[in-house]
Amino acid sequence: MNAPYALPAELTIYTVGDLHASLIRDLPAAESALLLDASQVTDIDSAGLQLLLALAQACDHRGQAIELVAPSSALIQASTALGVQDLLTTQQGAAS
Amino acid sequence: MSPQEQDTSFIAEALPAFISEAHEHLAALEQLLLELEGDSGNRQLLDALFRSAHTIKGSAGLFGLVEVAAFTHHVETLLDQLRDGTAALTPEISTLLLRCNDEIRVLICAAERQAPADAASASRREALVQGLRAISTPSMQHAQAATAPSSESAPNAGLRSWRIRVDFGIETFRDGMDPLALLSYLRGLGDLNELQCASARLPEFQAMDPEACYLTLSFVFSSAVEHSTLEAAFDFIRAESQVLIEAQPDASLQGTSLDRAHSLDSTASLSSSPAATSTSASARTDETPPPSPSSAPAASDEPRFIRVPADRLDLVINLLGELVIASAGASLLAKQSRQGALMAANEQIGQLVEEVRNGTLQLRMVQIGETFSRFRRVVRDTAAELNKDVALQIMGGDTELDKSVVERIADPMMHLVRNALDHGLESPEERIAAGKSPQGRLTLSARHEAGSILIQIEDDGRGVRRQKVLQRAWERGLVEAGVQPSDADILRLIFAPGFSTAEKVTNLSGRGVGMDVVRSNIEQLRGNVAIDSVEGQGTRITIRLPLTLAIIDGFLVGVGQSKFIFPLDAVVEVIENRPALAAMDERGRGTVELRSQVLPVVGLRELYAIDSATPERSSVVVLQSSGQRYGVQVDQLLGQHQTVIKPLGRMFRSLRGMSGSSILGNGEVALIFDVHSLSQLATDPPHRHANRHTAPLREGHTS
Repeated sequence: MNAPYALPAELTIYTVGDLHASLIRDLPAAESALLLDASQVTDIDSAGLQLLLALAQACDHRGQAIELVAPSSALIQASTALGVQDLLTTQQGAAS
Repeated sequence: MSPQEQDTSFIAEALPAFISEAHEHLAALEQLLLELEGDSGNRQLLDALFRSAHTIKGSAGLFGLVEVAAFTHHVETLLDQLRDGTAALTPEISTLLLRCNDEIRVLICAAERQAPADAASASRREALVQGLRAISTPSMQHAQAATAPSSESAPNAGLRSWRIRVDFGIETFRDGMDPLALLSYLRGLGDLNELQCASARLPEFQAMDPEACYLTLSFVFSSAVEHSTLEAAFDFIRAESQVLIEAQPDASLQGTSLDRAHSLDSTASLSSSPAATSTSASARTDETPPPSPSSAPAASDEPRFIRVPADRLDLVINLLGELVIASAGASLLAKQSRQGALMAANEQIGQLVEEVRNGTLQLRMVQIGETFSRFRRVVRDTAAELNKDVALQIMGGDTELDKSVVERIADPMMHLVRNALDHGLESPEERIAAGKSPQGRLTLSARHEAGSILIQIEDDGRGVRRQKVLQRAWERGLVEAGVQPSDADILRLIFAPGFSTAEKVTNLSGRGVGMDVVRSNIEQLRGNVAIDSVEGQGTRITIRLPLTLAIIDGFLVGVGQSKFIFPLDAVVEVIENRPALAAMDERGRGTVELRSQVLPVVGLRELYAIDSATPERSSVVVLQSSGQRYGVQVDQLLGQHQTVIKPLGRMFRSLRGMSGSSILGNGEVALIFDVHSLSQLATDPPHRHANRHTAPLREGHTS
C-alpha cells in the first residue's frame, strides 16, 4: 500500500490547476487503491469538489478504488452542502 | 454582429456604469463597517454589507473582472459568516475588511484605467486573503451544523416550492462564482431538499479543465419568498448558466417521495453511466424562462434619483453660460434701442435665465457631508496607527457646494486631516501631561459665508510652535536669518514650498511636499487657506472656497476703459461719487474715513497701472473678506451682473488679486476679483509687495 496522497490545505479555484497537473503526474498505477489524505483541507470550494469528483469518476472508470482518508470538517461540510457527500464513501461504491 | 461582439460592446458601454456603481458600493461598505463598529450585532447592517459585497462580486464577474470577483469572493465569504453569526465582528476583523475594501477599490480603479493591477496589489491581496481565511476557517465547524439541510421548519402558509435545476456555465468558477455560495444563499431564504449534483458533463480527468465548471445542480426549494426574489438569486450566473425554475404544485409535496423521474439523470456517485448525458442543452434552452429584464427589483424605500452622466450636466451648464452672456447682450441692445416693450421683454427673459441658472447650478450642488464622512475612516486608521485617541466631530455636513469643488477639495483636506492627526494631536500620555483630556478632538466643519464656503479643520492639539517654524524657515532660507516676522507671517510660512517641521518623517506626512501643494490646490479652485494656532491649545485651518466654479452674481465696475467684477456677496456697500482720493502711494494704497473709522482703500488705477486720466470724482466699493473690510476705488459703478466665470488666460495668471474673467454682453472682457487676495494687497504693509510683479494692464482682454 502506497502512502496517501496529501491534498493541500487550499482546494479552490486558485489551486485546482496545479493540483490537477500534479495528480495526472503522480496518479498511482491502476492496481493499487488511490488514497487521498484529506485531513489538511481547510479551504475548499466547488471547483475543488469538482476536481475530486472528476478524480473519483476517473478511478471508477478504471476500476480503481479511491478513498479520502480522514476528511477534514471543511471538506465534509462543503461536500454535504453541494450534495456530493457520496464522494466521501466512494471506496464502497467502487468495491461493489 | 455576432453574439460575442455584442457582448463585448455591451460590456464596453456598461462598464463605466458598473465602475461608478462599484465605487458607491465600496463607499457604502466602508460606511457600514464603520457604523457596525458601534453596533456590531445589527443584522440589517450586516445584511446590507453582504449585499454590497455580493453585488460587486457578481457584476465584476459579469464584466470579466476576474481579480475583483475572486478577491471579493473571500470578503463575501467572511461577511456571510458574520451575517450568520458564525463569526463576530471584532475591531480586528473590521480593520481587515476595511483594508480589503481599499484593495477592491484599487482593483476597480485599475479596471477603470483598463490597466492590470500592479504586482504590489497582488501580494497585498494575497496577504489579505490569508487574513480572511484565518478568521473564517475556525468557524467552519460551527457553520457545518447551520448549513446542513433542514426540512423540519414549521409549516408556513405562504410556503411555496420550486424544482430548480442549474447547469452552471463553463466560466462560472473563473467569473468568481461558487455554486456553494448560491446554495448557502438559498438555504438562508428557505429549505433546500433533494439536492443532487450531477457530474455528467465532466470530461475525462486527464482532459478536463480544472478551472472550468461542469456541474449541474438540481434541488427542491421551499420558501415563503416571492418568485422574483428567487429569480434574482440567479442573476449573477444567469448570463452563463442554464437555470430552470419550475413551480411545484403544492408545498406539502416537499419531503414526500417525489417521482424520481424528476430527479437528475446522473448523480454525483461513481455509478454514473454514459446514458446520463441524455438531457440535451437545446431542449433545456426552450424551457428556460426568459432572463429577468433587470437585476433584483429596487427596494421601494430607495430614494428616487436619476443618474445623469456628469458631462451632460457640464454641457448644459456651459450652454447656460453662453445663454447668460447672450441675454446680457440682448438686453444691452434693447436698452440702446430705447424701446420700452423690448426692454421689458428682455428684462423678463433675463429673470427667467437667472432662475434657470440657479436651478441648474443647484443640480450640481452636493452636500459636503459625504466627503466629511470619508474622513471617519482616515481618522480611525491613522489614530490607531499613531496610538492616539481621537474623536472626530463633523459639523455642517449638509452644507452644499458644487460637485466639482467637492471632488477637488477632498485631497487637500485629506492632507490637512492627516497633518492634524500626525503633528497636531498629541499621544494620550502627552495630553495628560499637558493637562488635557487623553482623547484628542478633531473637528471638521463647513458653513456658508458671503458667497463662499468655509471649511475648517480644527484640533485641540499642541498647536504650531512658532519658534520652531521660524528656526526652520531661517535654515531653509525662506526668511533671512535673524529676521523676526509677525506671528501671522510665521504661521503662513507653513504653506511655503518645501517646508516641513516634522522631527521624524512618518509615512503619513512630513515629506515636505504637503502644505504648499495643499495651498496651490486650493488656490486653483479660486479659494484660499489660512491657519490659526495657539501654542499648546490647538490649530485651526480655514479653507475658503467659492460655491461654484461656473456662474456667480457679480458687481460690475469700470476704471478707465477696463471693467472689473466683484462677487456680489462680498460687496457690503458703496460710497458713490466722492472726490477722488489724493493720498495714494505708488502701489495704490490709501485710506478713507467711513463713519469715523479708517478704511484701507486700494486704487485699481494705480495698482494695475491702468493708463487713463484720473476722473475728478470716483466711487469706493466696500468689500468684506475674512472679517476684514476694505475699499476699492473705482471710476464707475455699473451695477449687478450675472457673471459667467471663465479661466484667466495664461498671460494673466500672474496677476495678483484676480480669480477669473468674464465676457460682458457687448463682448468686452471683465476681470473678476478674488476679494480675499485683493484684501491682502489692500491691507498689507507696502514693503511686502515691493518686488512682486503686478503686470501693467491696459485693455481688459484675456488671451
